[in-house]
Amino acid sequence: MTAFVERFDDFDRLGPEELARWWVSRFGEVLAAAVAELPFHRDRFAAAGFDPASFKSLDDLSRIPIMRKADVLAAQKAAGALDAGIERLGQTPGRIVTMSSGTSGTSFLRWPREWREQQGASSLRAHWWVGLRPGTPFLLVAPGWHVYAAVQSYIVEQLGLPGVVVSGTYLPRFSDRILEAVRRFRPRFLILFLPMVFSLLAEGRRKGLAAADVFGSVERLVVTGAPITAGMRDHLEAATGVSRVVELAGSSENLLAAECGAAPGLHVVPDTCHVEVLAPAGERGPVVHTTMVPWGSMYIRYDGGDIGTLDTTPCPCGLPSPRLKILGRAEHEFVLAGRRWLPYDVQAAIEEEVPELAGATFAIATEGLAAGRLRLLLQAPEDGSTAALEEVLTRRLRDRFAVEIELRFPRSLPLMMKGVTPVVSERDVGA
Amino acid sequence: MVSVAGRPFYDARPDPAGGPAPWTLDDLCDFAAAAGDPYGGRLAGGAFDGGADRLPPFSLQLEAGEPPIWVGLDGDELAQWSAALERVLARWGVAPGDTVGFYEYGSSPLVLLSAGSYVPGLGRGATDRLGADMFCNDGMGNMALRMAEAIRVVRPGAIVVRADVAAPLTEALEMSGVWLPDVLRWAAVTVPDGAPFPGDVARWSERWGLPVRRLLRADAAFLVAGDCPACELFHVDDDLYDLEALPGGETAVTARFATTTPAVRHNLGPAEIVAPGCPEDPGAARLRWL
Repeated sequence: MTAFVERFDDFDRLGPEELARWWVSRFGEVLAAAVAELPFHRDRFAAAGFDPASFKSLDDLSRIPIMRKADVLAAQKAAGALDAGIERLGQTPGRIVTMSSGTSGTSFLRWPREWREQQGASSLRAHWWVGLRPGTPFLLVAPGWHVYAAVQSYIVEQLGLPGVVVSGTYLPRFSDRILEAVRRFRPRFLILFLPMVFSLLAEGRRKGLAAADVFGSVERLVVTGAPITAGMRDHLEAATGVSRVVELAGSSENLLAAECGAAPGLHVVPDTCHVEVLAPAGERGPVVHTTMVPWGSMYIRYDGGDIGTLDTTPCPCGLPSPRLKILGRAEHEFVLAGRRWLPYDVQAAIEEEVPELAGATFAIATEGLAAGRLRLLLQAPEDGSTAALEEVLTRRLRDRFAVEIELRFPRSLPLMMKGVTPVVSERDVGA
Repeated sequence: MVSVAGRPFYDARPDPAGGPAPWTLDDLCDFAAAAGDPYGGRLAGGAFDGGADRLPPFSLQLEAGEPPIWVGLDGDELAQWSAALERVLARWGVAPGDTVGFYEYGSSPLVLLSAGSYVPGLGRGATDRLGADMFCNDGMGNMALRMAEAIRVVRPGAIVVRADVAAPLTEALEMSGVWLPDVLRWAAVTVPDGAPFPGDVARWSERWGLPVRRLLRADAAFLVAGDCPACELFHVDDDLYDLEALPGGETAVTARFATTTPAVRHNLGPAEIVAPGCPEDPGAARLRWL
């Protein structure tokens, strides 16, 4: 373990220019492997007139063609098999196949042991950043279909942590079992898919337990799977009693970023990926990332459909990599009064205008958007007092979004919507 | 014989003939509930008190049983349990270059023991050692369409399916136009404790158009065995497990390799030890599950 710590220190102390040079060098390896062994990339590079040997600096990135999930699915379909031509599998037998999440189709990714060694070490770096240390039990929370299942087991191995696996899977249906495990084994570090935090709290309430009875041992609560707003972070800290809530973002296609807490945004984990946001500095745009691990399913300049911002200004924490903030999915963008918005913006606006609604469960109705309005389906306050809330919220949000605001108060909304605001038809939620 | 002295569960159930008395999963769950010990009194040093220093390197909550029981293992024990699965898969014909698909929870021992990538300390899992690849679809019924898609795209040579999702999978295969014999050589069906009913297996075999194998599991005793295509009995690896006939037509199993939470004389219920003599593996210890 000591060797890892020393390596974190060295690598994490690189200056921004040194990190850029490291990235250029690793891009060289990735591109060389891709052109030599992976027909999907070789063909795309040739079609775009891009010669990987000509890649000399990060300014050359724009010459590499962008790939999307649809390209991978089309290649798999054309091949009639799993192999899309992006898989570098190595010689070690025993690979795993994992699946992508998302609504734009399932792609299947292949990972050899060579990948696990490199990716695991890089992911361990990210977990170290967010406070994982030896001595705590670790709940292995990833479902088997997700690539994180292979990464977290590596981390547990390397840090010598007692590994704990709960039966079933990490969905609310099994929250009673997960709750029992958290209470039994008292981890100091806990990583959870955001909706599972609320499922555990709800399960605790059902059992008559206070938040401290559930999360009392947890010093670091790492949430993943959805971008959290400042208000949501405050809400999570208040609801769980955990003093430090940390956001970690990742994708099946080798995107990884983790919060340091010293400044907004999540540091890109540089030996996992290089990240670009295709927008002027500081503005939001499509997130495009490239694997820095030249094994397994290799995604190079991959637009996975996320929208985010990238902050390249120095961070007080000293880590050299830029800070990414994923704000949502491009497919969830909508237009109001000629401007593009994401559900995240609405959630942030609600929290800022009416702070007591931080952490509220709500959805955005497609019927309202179709009429050029923002119609919110908001879980009614427990005391049923909707009138005052409606007056304040509609007035303040109207000023921010420059459209008519409509509120509906369905009796209840699915817990899975909490913190993961959907854009849905009112019919789908029975409003 | 694995030593069980000082383990509260075993200390509480002496057999007049010596050693611990045979026990069922219900006995273990009852003890766990009464003692408030998630490991059911099988850890050395008394009931688990929540101390991190007493946690085994790897702890797994079993799906079967109420309250849920935890088992503990170290790397060597994981490797041996995994070897039992490896032998089942090898007997059923998994070979280098194959892919095995699991329509099962990622927390199932079958998935965990299959790939070393999933389990800290395992090293190489069952499919790893066979030179095969694997995937896990998770075990929810609403994932059936994704499993059908995985079969179509990944083209595994074999799949292992939870019995409770066999019906949704069948429906999803029909909706997706996936005909299993075009892809698979065999499928196997599993339940969290015990073995699926032969009648159900015959029905799935007919519906899916290919051989369907049965797995016998007793996770509390780290037992995994597969039925034999030649003799239709479960072959039990006698270098990993000891079988013992109990009065009343029941059979107990002891996992020779389990030391962290030992499994000594676990009563599998109605089962009959059958003398070796399988035409495919004449020396194999065999069990008829009743």
